[in-house]
Parts: sequence; structure tokens; C-alpha cells
Amino acid sequence: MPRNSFTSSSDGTVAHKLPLGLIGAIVLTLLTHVWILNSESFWRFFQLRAVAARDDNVRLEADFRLMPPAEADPARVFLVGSSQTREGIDVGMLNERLGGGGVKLYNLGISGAQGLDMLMLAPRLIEHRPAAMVWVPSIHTFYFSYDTSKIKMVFDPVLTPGWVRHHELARLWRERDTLIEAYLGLAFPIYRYRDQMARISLAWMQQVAFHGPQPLEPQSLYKFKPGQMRDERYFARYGKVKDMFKSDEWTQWHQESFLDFARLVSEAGIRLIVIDAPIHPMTRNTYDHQRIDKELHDLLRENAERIGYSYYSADQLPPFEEAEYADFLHLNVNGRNRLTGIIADILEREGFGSPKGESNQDPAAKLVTRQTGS
Amino acid sequence: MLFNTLNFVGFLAILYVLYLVLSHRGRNWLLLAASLLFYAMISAPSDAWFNWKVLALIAVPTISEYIFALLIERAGENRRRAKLFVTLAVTVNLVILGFFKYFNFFVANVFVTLEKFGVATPDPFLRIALPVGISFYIFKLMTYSIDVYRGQMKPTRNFMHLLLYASFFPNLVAGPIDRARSLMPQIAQPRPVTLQFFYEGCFLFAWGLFLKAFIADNLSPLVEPVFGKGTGFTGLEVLLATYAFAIQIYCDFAGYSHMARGVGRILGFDLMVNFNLPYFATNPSDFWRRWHISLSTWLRDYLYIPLGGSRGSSLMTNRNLFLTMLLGGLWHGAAWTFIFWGIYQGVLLIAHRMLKPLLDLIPQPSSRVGVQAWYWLRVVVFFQFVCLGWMLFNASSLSQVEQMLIALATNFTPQLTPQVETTLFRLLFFSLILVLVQLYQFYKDDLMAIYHAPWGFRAAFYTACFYLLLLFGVTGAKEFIYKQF
Repeated sequence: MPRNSFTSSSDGTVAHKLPLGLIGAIVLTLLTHVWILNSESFWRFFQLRAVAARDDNVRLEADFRLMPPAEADPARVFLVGSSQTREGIDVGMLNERLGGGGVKLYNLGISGAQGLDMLMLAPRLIEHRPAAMVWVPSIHTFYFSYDTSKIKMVFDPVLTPGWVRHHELARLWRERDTLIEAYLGLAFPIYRYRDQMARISLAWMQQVAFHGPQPLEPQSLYKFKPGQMRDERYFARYGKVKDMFKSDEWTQWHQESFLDFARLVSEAGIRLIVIDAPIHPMTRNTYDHQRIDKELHDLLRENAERIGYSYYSADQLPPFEEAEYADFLHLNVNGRNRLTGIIADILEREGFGSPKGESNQDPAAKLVTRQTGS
Repeated sequence: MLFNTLNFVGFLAILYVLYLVLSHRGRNWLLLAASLLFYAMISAPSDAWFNWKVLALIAVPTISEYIFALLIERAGENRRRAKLFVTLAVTVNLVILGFFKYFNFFVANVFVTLEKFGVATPDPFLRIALPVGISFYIFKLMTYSIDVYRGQMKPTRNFMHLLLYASFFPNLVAGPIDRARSLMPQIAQPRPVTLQFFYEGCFLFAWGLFLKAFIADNLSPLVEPVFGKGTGFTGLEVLLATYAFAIQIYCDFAGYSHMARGVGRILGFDLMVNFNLPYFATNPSDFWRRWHISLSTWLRDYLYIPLGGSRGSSLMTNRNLFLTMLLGGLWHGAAWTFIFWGIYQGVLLIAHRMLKPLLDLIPQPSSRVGVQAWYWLRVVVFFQFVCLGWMLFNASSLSQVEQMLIALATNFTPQLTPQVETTLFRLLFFSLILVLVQLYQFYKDDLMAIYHAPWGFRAAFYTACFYLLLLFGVTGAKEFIYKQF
């Protein structure tokens, strides 16, 4: 029977010594931390087990950490943006088509990425020295409320001045935990991606405990399986939503962040290609599309030349059919194949990959021509 | 401002720095100010920073206790007068507790009864919000006048000391219910604040945080779906949810107690040990010597023994046990499930007491292995009885308990569906470290065994806990279960 050992029952010898247990723990923690930062197997584990949409952030971190040095790829192109990038572009197909031209493409789209997120990701993207970046933004990137609870997973101190500038003092105080967590996440990647890492680790341990170890196989990048599509009730329900996308307190900041992102990328000598993401025709019923679409396109178009990026707006691209969407924002396998082809054309025209000997006309004009068959 | 928040860590850090530079008198004033601020903050509604009104709920019973304790002392040898004063002191406390904790329950049940007889009832004219921690600080305060009456301590002339005892923030919200005769002298006398106390306090606080954030809060999602709905589950799902709740409530409450004791220790106080490996108990008496010790000993000293304890006939002893546990159940909250939980605990104690002569006839093994096996067998068997009690405790209604028992009895298919597999795995994963630590404490015969372990072992243990907490610890300041009592 254990005694009721009150803390006062300790013998007093510890007080005269250094807290060796604690010092040892700090040393061990640092050693473990260094191992985590440098371990290929650690990050490979999460890269291969990350589930599309749910675990995008940890997969992106693993992608960054496992990416070969820039010199290994003759010309490196990053496909960046939200789940519309991840879900809508088949990077395998692109690599197959353009790889002969010495281009290596990476799909680095992460669910929910908005203007602010892209600005925070900019330093890491630039650090890996791509020759070009293709960003496929949509209405969601700029005109949807921002969930600050997710900031930890993409946080970069580059945002701190903006955070202070765009928040009132009272709000800064209310959101202090968010920033503290974000900085803590910078120090400890495990903390930064804890939700996703915890889920992946638990699932793996459960698998091993009940079914034995299984070989690691990469998870699909796509949340929607081939042929999978939201049902009619989904479209009926969301078709009735009003003001799903609108200007709010975040909009201007998202827009400024986009411009800052474009500036940073351009200044780093990286070609930025911005292509409007296709959205389901019914999505336009959910917001004031005439005003907002014009406002967004004007912003992207007007700054293209000034900052130095290429912009392909929705009206320059062939329209997508309803049957090519899995839901309101995401393409299904048919839509993905077509968008991938369009992007391949654009990249060829922009000088990446091997041109197929077609005329050197404006890439957007060519795309429309192909679509209409004229 | 719960213990498991960054706000509290900041609050404690500032307090500690100031505490170090002040004299004893200054420290007491600082602690009082901090305690009142803490209570005003923890009682504040979500849209406000403070709720100063609740301080009156501490002040009124404290003033009453202060005055009556002095009157008891002045009554001297006149025991009748002293008894009158202690009765009045206890009554004031019980009226406050009864009004704030049981008024709604009482009115609701009276109205339900009246409606059964066809009497129209109005909407309750008062809806009383339960003040945070009222059961704990009222029980704490009651020990003061009673102990003065019993001659076990002298009343204080310093009202501030009594107010600090009542509002002392480490144990204000969820205990331990430290006796006045134990804590008041610590307030009155200068306290050493040493590096050793700081280490011990940090260890206790960190371990408490680990129990709460890594174990209790991760088991909560396994418990809530079953207890939230109560029906439509198989017996196996009910069983696993009940086991998960048993571990959850222990880690939640013991976690709080450890953190409270840790904070107290950092400030130079010795607060009561509240848990002593309760799930290693082999019978109900043993369990109540290990679970929520500050309440069980309070009930023993201030209720069971005054009722007559075991001094009378067997029938009277059983009555006293039953009443004590019934009131112990009611102390937890104004709900029939708590009352039946108390009745269940009373019945268990009585049954064990009556069956003990028969149980003693069972031949005891003599070999070392046999003794161990016999002990652990009793532990496992008695744990099932404890869990049955937790089912009553956590259910939202008695009909839910009935549904769950029916599922256990008639729909128990030991089939590992994906859902059951996940629940079972998470229960084992999040409980494993607790089981290992407790076995270590048990075989080392020391509740601070980890703290006293070789430094290399401690370094590995702390590192593992740090990373487990970093990866799996639940953030977002989930409330402690016992805060609602």
C-alpha cells in the first residue's frame, strides 16, 4: 500500500543539487528536436500518410523538407494555391507532358489557402528556388472570411506587421493565443502540425496494433475519387446560399497579401503565372458575381504588368461544363484532366517544357480556340 | 482563467515574482488580492472580464464564520452556548449552499410533483446560477467553526487570514478541501519559499496538466457520444465508454488536485493529498480512503462520526454509512443521478461490511505470486463496481442508465467494428502511461516515485511527456469536470 507521501515528505537532498532530471530532459528534448528537423524518415512517414484535404499542411511541410536541392531539377515549377490547385491539377500528367523539356512540377496546393496564407508561404516557396509558380486563385481566395485558428500551420513572421496593422488593440489581445501558438509552432514543427500529425500517428499505431504493419504507400492527392460527385441535394442546398463570398474585414488584407506575394516572387526572379480557377456555374448564384468578379479581375489584371506576372482570367479560358465538377469549387477527374491540359499549354507558351511545334500565338487565345474548335 | 491556460501561467508567474520580494504579511495580502481576482475572473460570463458580485458569496459565510468562531471561544465552558453558535454557523453555510445549489432542483421537483396532481404551476420565479466552487469553499469554511467548537484549533483574530483561507485560489474551485486547522496555521506562520518547493510544485503542476490535457481531454470524445445520447449503442460500446469515463474523471479531477497542490507548493503551502491510486482499491472502504480523500475524510469527520459512526449497533452503523454517502452524492450536484450514485456507494459500503466475515473465509494464497494475483484479481473485480457507479454519475437521467444497462446485458457482442477498434485503441493508448506510472508508484510505495527516481529516468520521462503533450495534448482550455460542483 503506497504511503500518502505529501510533498513535504521528500528528504530535502534534492534542494542542494541541480535539477538534473530537468536539465537532462531539456538536452534530450533538443536532441529529439534536431533529429525531427533533419530526419528524412520522419517526414517521409507523414508525407506518405497525409490524407488529401485533411492533412495538406503537414504534407506540404514534408514536401518542402524532402525536396531535393534546386540544382537537382533543371527547371522547377510549383503549383500553388488552395484545394482547387491540389484537386484540379494532375501533376503526374504535367510532369509526363513537360518533363521532357526539363521541367519538374510539384503540386503544393493546400486546402483553404487564401491570400494571407500564400503571403506567409512565400518565403518557404522562394527558398526552394523554383523557376516559376502557377497560382490558381478563385473567389474563395479573397472574398471569404478568414479562420485565424488555422494560421498556426502556415505562419511566418512576415505577417506580424500586417497582423498588428489590421487589428485593433482589443482584437489583438483577444487573438493573443493565436499568435503565441503560431510562434510556438515556428519553434516546434510537431506543435505546428499537431492535429494532423496526431491523427496520422494514431491511425498508424491503431493499424499496427490491430492489423500489423502495412507497407507505406503514398496517399492520393485528390479527395474526390474518380467519378465521385456531390449529389443533387448538395447542389440544391448550396445553390440557395446567398452572400457566400463577400467583401469583409479580411478582403483588403487578402488582396494586399496577394500583391505582396506577387512582388516577393517577382523580386526573387521567379516567374509567376496566375490563372483563374474554374468554379461551378451555379456558384455565381451564391454571391454578387458581377460586381465581385469584375473587382477581382481588375485587381489581378491591373497589377499584372506593374508587378510582372502573367494573368489568365476566366474569360480567356474555355468554360467548364457542370459535369466536370465534383462540387461547387472542385473539379472531378474529367475537369482535372482538361485544366491540366490548359495549364500545360500555358506553361509551354511561357517557355517551360517542350513546345509541340504549335504557333507562337497568345496562350489564352489558343486555349479558347481549342475549346471552341474553330 | 483555468489552470490549463496560458493566462493562468502568466498570472502565476507575475504573482510568484512579486511573492518572492514581499514580506510574510505582504505575501498574504498579495495572495488575498490574487485569490479574489482569480475568483472574479473565473466566475465572469463569457462577455466580461470580471464578476465582482460573486465575491460577496465568499465574504458573507466568511464573516459569519469569523463572528461565530469568536463567540464559540467566548462561550468558553458553556457548551450549550457554544453548540448554539456552531449550529448557527453551520446553518448559515448550509442555507447559502442549499439556496445556490439546490433551489432550482427543489423547485423543479416540487412543480413536477404538483403537476402530477393536476395543480398548475408557474414558471420558476428564480433561476439561480451555480457559483463556481461553492461546494468546496463552503465545506472548507465549515471546518473552521466546527474545529473551534471541538477545541481542535483557536479562532483567529485576523479576519484577513480567514478570508484568505476561504478564498485561497489554488484550492478554491475544486479542492482539495483542506481543513482550517491545517491551512490556517500555514497562512499565519511565515512560509519558507525554497528552490526545492519550486521544483516539487512545478513537478506536481506539470503532471496534473499532463493528466488533464493528454489523458482526460483525449478520452472525452470517447465518452461524450455514448453518454450524450445514451441509446443505440452495443453493450461493448457502453462498457468502453464507461471505462473511458472512469479514467477521464480520475485524470481530470486528480489532475486538478495535483495542479492545485503544485501551485500551493510553489507558494510554500502543503495542501492535502486528494488521491492515492484509487483504482487499486480492492473494496469500497479502501476506495473511499483513496478517492477524493479531502471529501471522504470530511464526510467521515464532520458527518459520519457525529452521526454515531460505528459506535452503535450494526443497524445504526449501516444507517450512518448510508446517510453519509447519500449526502456525499448530493454534495456533487442537485440531480437524481448524483443522489442514486450516493445511494449506490452507501449500499456498496454496507454490503461489503456485511459480507466481510464471509469474504474473510476465502482461503488466502500464501505464495508471493499467489498474493499478487489475488490482490490484482480483487482490484479488477472491484473496478467493475466502481465503473457501474460512474455510469450513474455521468448519465443524464436514470432512464439513460437503464438503457445502458440493458445494452450491457442483452446486446453485448464482442465484435471489433472499426468504431469499437478506434475507441479501444485510444482508450489503451491514452491510459497506458497512467497505468505504468501508477504501477511504478505502487511498487515503489511512493506517490512521488517519479520525482524521486534517478535523474536519467526522469529526464527520459519528462521528455516523453513533453512530446506527448506537444503532439496530443488538448488545447483550448477544456473545463474541469469538478468545476461544476
